Amino acid sequence: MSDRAVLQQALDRIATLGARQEPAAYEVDGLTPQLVVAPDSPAALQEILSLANEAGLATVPWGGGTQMGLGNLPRAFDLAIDLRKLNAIVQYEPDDLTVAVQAGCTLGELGAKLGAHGQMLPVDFPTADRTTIGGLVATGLSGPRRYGYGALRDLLIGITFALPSGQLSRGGGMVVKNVSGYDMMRLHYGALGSLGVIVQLNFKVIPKPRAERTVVAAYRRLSDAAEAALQVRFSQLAPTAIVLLDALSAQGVGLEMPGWVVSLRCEGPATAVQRQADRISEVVRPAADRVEVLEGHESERLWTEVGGSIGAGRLGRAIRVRIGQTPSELPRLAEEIDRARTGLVVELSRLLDIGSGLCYATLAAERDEDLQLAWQRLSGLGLHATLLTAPPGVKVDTDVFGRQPAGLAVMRALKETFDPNRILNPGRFIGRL
Amino acid sequence: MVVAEERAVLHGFKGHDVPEFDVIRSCVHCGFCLPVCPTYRVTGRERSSPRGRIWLMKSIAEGRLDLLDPLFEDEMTLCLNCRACEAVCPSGVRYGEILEASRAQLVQHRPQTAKERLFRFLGFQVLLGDMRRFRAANRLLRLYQRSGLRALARRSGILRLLGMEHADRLMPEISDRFVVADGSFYPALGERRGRVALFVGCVMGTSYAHVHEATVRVLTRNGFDVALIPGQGCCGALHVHGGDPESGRRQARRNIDALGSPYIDAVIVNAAGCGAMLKEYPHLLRDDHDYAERARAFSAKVRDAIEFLAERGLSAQPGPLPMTVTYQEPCHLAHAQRITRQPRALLEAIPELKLVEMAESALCCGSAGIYNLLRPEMASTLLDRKLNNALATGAEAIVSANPGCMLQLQAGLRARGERIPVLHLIEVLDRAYAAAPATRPAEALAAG
Amino acid sequence: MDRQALQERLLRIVGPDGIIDDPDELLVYEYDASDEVFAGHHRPDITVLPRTADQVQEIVKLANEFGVPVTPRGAGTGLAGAALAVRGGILVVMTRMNRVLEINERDGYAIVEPGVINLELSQLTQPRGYFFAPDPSSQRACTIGGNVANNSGGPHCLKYGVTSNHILGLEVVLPNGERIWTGGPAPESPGIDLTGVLVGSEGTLGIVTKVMVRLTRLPEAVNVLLAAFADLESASQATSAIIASGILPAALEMMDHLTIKAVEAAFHAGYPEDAGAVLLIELDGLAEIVAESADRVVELCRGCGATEVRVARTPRERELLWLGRKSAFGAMGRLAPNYYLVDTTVPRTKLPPTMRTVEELSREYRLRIANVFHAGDGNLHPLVLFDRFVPGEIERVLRCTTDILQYCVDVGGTLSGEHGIGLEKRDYMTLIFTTEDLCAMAGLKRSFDPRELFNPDKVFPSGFSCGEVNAIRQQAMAKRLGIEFV
Repeated sequence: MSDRAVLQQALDRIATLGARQEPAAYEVDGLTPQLVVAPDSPAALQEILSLANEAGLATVPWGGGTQMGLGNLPRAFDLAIDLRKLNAIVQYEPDDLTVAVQAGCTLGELGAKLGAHGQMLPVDFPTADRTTIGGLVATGLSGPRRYGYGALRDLLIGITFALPSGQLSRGGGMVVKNVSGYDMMRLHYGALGSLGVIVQLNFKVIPKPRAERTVVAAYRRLSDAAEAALQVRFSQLAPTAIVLLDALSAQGVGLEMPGWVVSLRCEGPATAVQRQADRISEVVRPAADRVEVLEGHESERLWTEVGGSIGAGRLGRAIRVRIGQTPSELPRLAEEIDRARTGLVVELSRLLDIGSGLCYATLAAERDEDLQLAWQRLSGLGLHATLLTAPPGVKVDTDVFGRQPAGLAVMRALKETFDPNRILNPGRFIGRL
Repeated sequence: MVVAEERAVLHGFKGHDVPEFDVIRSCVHCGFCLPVCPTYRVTGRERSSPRGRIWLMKSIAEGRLDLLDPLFEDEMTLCLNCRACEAVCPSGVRYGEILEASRAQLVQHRPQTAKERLFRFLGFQVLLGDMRRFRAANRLLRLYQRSGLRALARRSGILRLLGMEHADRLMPEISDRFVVADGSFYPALGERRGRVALFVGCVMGTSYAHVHEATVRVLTRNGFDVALIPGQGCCGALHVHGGDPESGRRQARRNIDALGSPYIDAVIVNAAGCGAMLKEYPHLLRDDHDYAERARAFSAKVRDAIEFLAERGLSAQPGPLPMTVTYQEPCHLAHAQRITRQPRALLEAIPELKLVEMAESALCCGSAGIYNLLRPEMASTLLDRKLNNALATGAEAIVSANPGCMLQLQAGLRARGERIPVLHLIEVLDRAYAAAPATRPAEALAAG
Repeated sequence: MDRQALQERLLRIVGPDGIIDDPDELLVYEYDASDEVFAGHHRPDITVLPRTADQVQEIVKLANEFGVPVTPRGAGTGLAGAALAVRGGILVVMTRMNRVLEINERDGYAIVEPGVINLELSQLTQPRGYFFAPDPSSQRACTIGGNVANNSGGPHCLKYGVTSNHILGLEVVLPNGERIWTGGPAPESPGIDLTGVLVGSEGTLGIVTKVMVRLTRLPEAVNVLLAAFADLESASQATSAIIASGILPAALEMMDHLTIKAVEAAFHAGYPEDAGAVLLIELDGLAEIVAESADRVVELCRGCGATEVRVARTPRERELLWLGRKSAFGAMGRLAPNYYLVDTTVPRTKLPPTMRTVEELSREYRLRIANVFHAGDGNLHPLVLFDRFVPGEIERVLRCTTDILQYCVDVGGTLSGEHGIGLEKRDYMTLIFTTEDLCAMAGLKRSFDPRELFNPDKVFPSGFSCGEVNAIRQQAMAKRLGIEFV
């Protein structure tokens, strides 16, 4: 039998193992798969994977498709596995503050279920009704609330994943403190599904704060704004998120304020939140042009929008770069980014996650070459840089995960162990793994 | 499959003063003692930690290590017996006890050289066996120090030849006057609050006679009669720590005979090492039919001067003493007797005196009885560390409460050319009283 | 192994002061803080005490060359035998690498060598307004490197999270002798989260030579409460009530009667000796919130039948209460010469029935069991007391602890919450993991350490091999394909 015939045979068999979907809707950087299948049980997924593995099918696990801007250009794309039918909330123990959920469950569905018991996962995305939990973990995206609650990584207590071999393995468990065996959760967090397909995730959840307020302060100068934000960060006050936005960024999240805007989120019991917001306002007021306090829904809405401006969804004629830098150096980084676009016709918006030490720069331009040049310049800044999303043309001849980290050899060894035939997201992860 | 072991036969230890196996195995090797052990901190080797040493003892008891393995002896003598480990041990392992027993085992079973036997005889029997002989020897030493003989000896290099250069440096300056337990009685000043006996000891009565005098002044000023009851001798600590518990027991019986009077409220000690020993007489004499019970009654009355004053409160207000001091904790006060808050409370009761804590104040200074003579290298490493910490505070005086520590610190300071004094805490208190207006009515002052 | 040659080469790396090869001295490296009855004695062939990362790297390269096992060790305070050189070889003691290299106040992190003692780091950073949040009870003696290896917990992990949440980056010597930095002061370093994988790997994937830790800001206010109850059950209910109320204490610890007695004898911490159980509750944060929460906690405890609720007024009182709690394991030596530590975590709501079961098993096996644990996160520590010289007791301890573990697993718990699997608990791994689960972990191990020289025989059950799994998988595959396997 020819290779092609083997491949076709495998695809035919796989097609019987789940619902077939229209390939056109599953484009990754300009490539569409030959087959899209949506298994409705872990067993079916295992079987699909094992067949794909034997036939060497280039496979992309697919969640809500909302963060598909992330990743290097795929080497090939034969099969997409749509995981949205694996969307059960497997076990929810409100009194234990733990939940086990299948990878295809959306953030919105899970949020609603948790919300009914006054609990939550502290991540905000405007695409919550489409973004899946599995996708979030695989891409390793967490918002600025990680400052107060930890990233999703820190809340993960258990995982089930399927390997290309068809083997189903677990790590962790359903308890909040566990050192039995290796931390398989962290192995898969942010690994872009390159080591296995996430089937189930267990989290510890957080009691939903009874109230929230956001202190918003506008400054003419970046240095004043940064100083205010850093001062709060350095104090004993305990906001759950601190971000600094330039004017365009602020506009993007619905804040009509000129100059630089500092946003600080306070969450907790009502009276405590009020006092905390008051105290924070006092700290940030001296050099500010304007200080406002947003309450309740207004505050919540702002942070959902912020979540939208840090994601890895496709942006059309724009790129988004995430750069890691220590919080105190972030303001300088913001200026360096501005300088880096000199000579390029690009529109720039910057959002600094002062709490955590990340900068999100979104640059728009008509020509791929300009965007490519911008990424090249930005990729050398800070401690590390990731091209979160870009048009396919910009991704040519570069690694969107930036400079090669020191541990790349180990990462290669891990890939070799778990996915020896390189069928999972081939070429898309760091070092084109 | 694990099966219950036969109760271990104590292979390696035999004869009298065998380290108790139940004490050895009460160590669950949790490791809490490691960071507080001075020798472990210096060497970083497990063998030089209390946990390691206990494991060596256990290995001997279980027949896995020979009692006469040079490693064991080396560790038993490298240990300062500072007992910092005991103070932090959650299991309450009586480390000092099994260490001293192990040393006694070594003395019993290890062939001793003629030089060692002579040293032990001269030191433990001749010198410390009788306080009259001790004072006579001290007079000779004073002659040596004052007559120009020392200067000559130092110049001639004969000390180096005899290997006594180090010992000479550590030798205390012998006082002009001695305090002798001769039956003197000093009545309380003001309202009488009780009657105490002062434990005179060896070096405190000769080199630190002035501390004894200060102690008497402070106690009488605070309303206590002080008696220097005759018949008392050396506390026996050097014997017990040196592996000769039998001689220690002789001293203990004599002290109990002399000081066991029901008419005194407390036996006051101002040398932390002696105080710790006196409080441990019940263990030392546990197998002595005639003395076991008396030892318990006796030890119940033993108090360090600092402990006593803090417990009873100062009835006289000290005067102002405008100086900055730092406090060096004697191991046998802080660890063996767990007296740590009281010294600070007394210092804080002195107006205008400023106490600046040094880093690692509870880490041994390396003196440890005669340790500095036996293990000079480790002793001087620890002394350096101690002096660095003490001098970093910028204090005008180092305050301590044990003659061994004070000698060690003074020798170290001299070698460095530092001029700051080392004072006994009671001396500081005495100076503060000297500064107090004598006519002012005594105010009751709670301390401790 | 050419021992002589290895010794000589090691000597050249670490110098005469850094190598221990006298078999008698090596006796003191055959144990850690785990009970010897279960962990056994394991004497390494050679112990080395390196002072620099370069030396560690050279040692690892040498071990590779000679094909000898390498076992990293910190202060030896671990309770699962993870620092024991089970297959001999080189024991690498990291305690001499104990410098604090950098404290960055502005961004709240520090870079330390792995031999730094946990508590000393907090003491050093406290005057600058920071502390290192993971605070295992052995924090006075244990090292940061050991914390990293075990992903150590501690009372304050209830609010602040375990070690893994506080490690920003690691410099590590990998089994192949390569030395790399993972992570860094900014989050989301691209690629696989090697830092996260290394934390808690019990020294089986490499030796950490530098640790970048997150420092936590000291809270504005701290309040420690002590609540006494008649029995464990009512104290457990109070625990559930507090967690359910949405208050997140910094720590929520429980001690039973037996533990209270032992600890009081050791430190006179001021626990009520007649209580059946006490809760130690620490609240911290903004002053107003702490005050408010404290009132609410007192109310909740009273509602669950607390006989007494006390508030530590001075820092010294607070310190004493914590000293008692943190010395509890060591204090077991006062109750019995041996104890076996069970370290399971159960879902919080399962605490009361679990405590009942432990009590029943204690009676059934005629063994005293002391309980002192992190109630807030469901991490139990039944300490089964015994005397190894009493005939038959060891077998009863084994059966009793297995029953406890099995019960905890049945209600959804796990084997170890914070002390690690090491040697002592590895054979229980099959209670919670399938062969396929373990196989994936073994794959992870092999990716780092294909020659299996690093801390061998730990974590995985004895005799575990992935070969069997491959056979099972082939059979499954054959079945699906309708082929008969012979």
